[in-house]
Amino acid sequence: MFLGLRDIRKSYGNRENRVEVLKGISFDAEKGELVVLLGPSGCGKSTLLNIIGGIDEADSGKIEVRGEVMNTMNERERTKYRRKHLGYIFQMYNLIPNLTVRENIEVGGYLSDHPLDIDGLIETLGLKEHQDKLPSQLSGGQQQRTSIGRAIIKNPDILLCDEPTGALDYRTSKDILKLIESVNQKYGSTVVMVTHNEAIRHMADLVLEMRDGTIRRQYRNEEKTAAADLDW
Amino acid sequence: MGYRNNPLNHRFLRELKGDFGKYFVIFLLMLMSISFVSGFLVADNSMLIAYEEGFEKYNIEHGHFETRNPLNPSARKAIRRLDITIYDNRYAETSLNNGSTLRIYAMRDSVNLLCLMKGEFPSAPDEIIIDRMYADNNHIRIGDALTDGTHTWKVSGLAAFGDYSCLFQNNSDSMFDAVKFSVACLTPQGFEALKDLPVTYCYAWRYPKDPSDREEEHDWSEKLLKQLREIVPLQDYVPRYQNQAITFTGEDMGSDKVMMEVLLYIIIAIIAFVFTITINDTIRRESAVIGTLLASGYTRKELTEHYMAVPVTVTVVSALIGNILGYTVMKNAAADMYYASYSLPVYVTVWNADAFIRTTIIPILIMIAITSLTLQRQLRRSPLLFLRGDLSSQRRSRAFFLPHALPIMTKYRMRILLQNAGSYLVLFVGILFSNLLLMFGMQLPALMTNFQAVIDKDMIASYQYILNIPLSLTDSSAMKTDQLLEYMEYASSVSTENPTAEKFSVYTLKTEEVPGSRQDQVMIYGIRENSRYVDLHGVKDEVCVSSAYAEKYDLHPGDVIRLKEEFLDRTYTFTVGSVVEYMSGIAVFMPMEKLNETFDLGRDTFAGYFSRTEITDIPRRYISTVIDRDELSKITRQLMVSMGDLMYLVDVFAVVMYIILIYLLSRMIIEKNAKSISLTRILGFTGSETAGLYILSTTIAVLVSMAVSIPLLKVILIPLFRTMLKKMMSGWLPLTLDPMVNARMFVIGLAAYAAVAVFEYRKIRKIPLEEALKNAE
Repeated sequence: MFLGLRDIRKSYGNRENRVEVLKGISFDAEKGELVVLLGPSGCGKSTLLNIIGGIDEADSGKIEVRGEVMNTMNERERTKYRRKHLGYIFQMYNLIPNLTVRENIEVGGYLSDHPLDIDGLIETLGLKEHQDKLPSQLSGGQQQRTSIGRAIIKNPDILLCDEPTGALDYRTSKDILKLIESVNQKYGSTVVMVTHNEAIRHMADLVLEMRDGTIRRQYRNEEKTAAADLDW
Repeated sequence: MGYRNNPLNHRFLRELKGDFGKYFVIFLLMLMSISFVSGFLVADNSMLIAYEEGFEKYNIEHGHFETRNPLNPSARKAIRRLDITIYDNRYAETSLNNGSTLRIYAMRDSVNLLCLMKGEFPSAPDEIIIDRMYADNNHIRIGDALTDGTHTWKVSGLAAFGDYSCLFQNNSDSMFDAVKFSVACLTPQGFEALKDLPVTYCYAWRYPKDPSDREEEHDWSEKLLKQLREIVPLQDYVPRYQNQAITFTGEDMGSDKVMMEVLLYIIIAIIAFVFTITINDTIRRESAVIGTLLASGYTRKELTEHYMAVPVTVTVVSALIGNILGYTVMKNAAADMYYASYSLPVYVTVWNADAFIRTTIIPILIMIAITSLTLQRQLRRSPLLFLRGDLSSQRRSRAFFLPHALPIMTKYRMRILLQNAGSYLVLFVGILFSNLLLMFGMQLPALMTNFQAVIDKDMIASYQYILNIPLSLTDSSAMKTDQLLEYMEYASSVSTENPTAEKFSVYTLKTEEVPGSRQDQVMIYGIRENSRYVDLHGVKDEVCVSSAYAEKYDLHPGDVIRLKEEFLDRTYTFTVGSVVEYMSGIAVFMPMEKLNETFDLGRDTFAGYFSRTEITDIPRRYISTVIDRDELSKITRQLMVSMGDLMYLVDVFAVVMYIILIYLLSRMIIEKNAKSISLTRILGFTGSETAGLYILSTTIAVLVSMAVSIPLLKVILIPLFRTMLKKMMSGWLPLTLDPMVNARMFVIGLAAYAAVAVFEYRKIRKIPLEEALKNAE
């Protein structure tokens, strides 16, 4: 087991306003697997992703990554954990607005002792001619490619993707999914992808269907569909 | 039914509370500036009114003249026929045991009346009333005894003398001296008892009515001078408009006012630009809200008013409280500063509508103008652009190219600097201005110290004795018998056995009037051939000027100077041949024979001695002035007393303003980048790494600003000092800035910044990780 979650619970608010967002989430994922978290808005999937990413803390339960228990980590250790193991891709890209494409990717590379070759990566991402542009000069798809570049340049063990195609059109979304798929295959990163796009479940190794803070169903695909063949 | 009030107004208090720290420091800075300036203007105006009213209230002279002997009845009769009233204003001078000179008058009852500040007028021969400011400077209290070794008086009261609002001992002095010179009054019996002291026969005069303007005053005094010369030989003649002891105070108070107003407007403009940056940042942050409100039907005017509310309210509140403090606390502080420089009468606080407009209405208008212009420009975009967060200036911006090979952290910091160039520019202006104040406050004392060292180094001689040539003998017209006798007595009394003494001749001229500059009295020295004291660098037909003269008037060899007679309509031109190192006075040096010839003084005439040691064998009445180290130190001594407190206040104000500006701007830069800061932490940057990125960028901006501002300030400060000193004093100070002050300023700047950086470091570390995820939710 590479990534294991046991009975993760999380609530917000206090007393009468208390809302339980995660009600005991458990699953295991192996190294290199592509996990898709599916569910409608408000079902708790982004909260779960943030807890896996060490941005948010679970109230109870246990998270294990490569044998390390995350719950017992303090802030400094969690920072180290994110730095060492994680890559993050957001729905709204979250690029640093005053850095160019290349520099945004380099920010990710700075955190790794053995980053990927930046020029090769920019070439792969199809961003060579845009590398000296600011995010505000790019289309949504180009920004998301940059965001992917920033996440994968450090060759992370786990790639967390929060609705990576949520703000993109069909065609661009497919391009981005193909890119994530290739990263998964080429670098062997474990990908955890939050989405409400039902079609994406077919490219996953492990599918977790969430509703109201619980996993209603989880299963593994016997046969995966290539991102290029997905349709919705 | 619609809302009568804009519901957005509910946000007002929340906005204020949410950003309390920021608005509080802005409030503090404005309050400090407005209260300081308001207090200053109120005190300045009220005291100026008291000073001007004092001319009539205390029946201040229109001028005075001095004669060798008391006026005889026929001279009095002749003067009575002139259109003036004269008043006996004789005085005696003595040296007190504390080293001060006391000029003693008999109590006045008709002219130059005293304003009693404390205690009582003298009622017994051994009681004395002295100048209030001299008493303050020397810690003399009522009841204390003053003695010159022969006489002892008990101080019965302290007063302001309207004819000595500024304690100039001689009208030709470069600077007044309220530390070692005072005027005093005794009862008539007390004055009569001073038989052992030489008496100067001084007569004050008043015209039947005040001259309507300076020109008329000048014409009347010129006419009177001619008439008086026909009647009596004059030792001295000083019309009021030329009397520094009377006029200096009013002129100085007027010029201070302008300086204070300029100071206030610069601070308000800086704060307005700080608000502009804040507003731009708020609009960027609230772009979706603004888009929604515009799309819902809110007008741009309503939104402009909404976003202007807080800055304008902060300004209004600061201005009102600032004025209250100005009229109460700060007014007294400013008045104390004036009382530390000038011997002013008691004043009554006068409501000053002009000060209210300048310290309240104008700052509010400046703030409204700058914030509303910024808002109107920003809110011109369509609701859709706001909804998309697509602010055109961002969309259009292109990345400034940075070499790929640079390390990413370097590039990141450079991008922060570029992104916040506007804020850093305001920061630079703020630092420049704070440093200007700081440098001003720190360099002026350094200037004095340096001047003292220069005086010690380049004194012509340890002692310069200027002989007291009666004014009547400078008149080239044919001498009358009594004048001839006077001359013979004079000539036989002014020789000395002192072996270090060297004769020189001297003549006094004045520089031509230049607006914004005090007229200088120029000492023209005639130097003997092969002088032990002054090297004329071989000039014969040309003249040498003192380095002080050269520096003040930017003179170089080959330049021509024009000088005029003080009491006659005659000008002289000289060509500068060389510069003599002498910073202690505005002087011209030429061969003695040439001087005597030029001014028609007679071949063997001389007017004084240079000497290495004190000359003791010339009667005191024939010595007009002794220029020694103590005399030359008068300028530094008085400027330090007058401006010492003000400089300290300026220093404190500058440091506070410096801290506040750096705090505000670095805080805004952090707020503007909160999302990026949060994001870098999500990506795995440690708190220290992230703080380092942003703090180091601001540190670079602060260091560069300081490094650039200090040499730049030198360029600004020297002309500023030049203008100020030209206005304030005749004579000159060497404008040599002390490099150690720069080092001290740098250290103060760094220490102030370090204090702010600690706050910012904590603030950066406190930015929550969720900040970056807000839009993604």
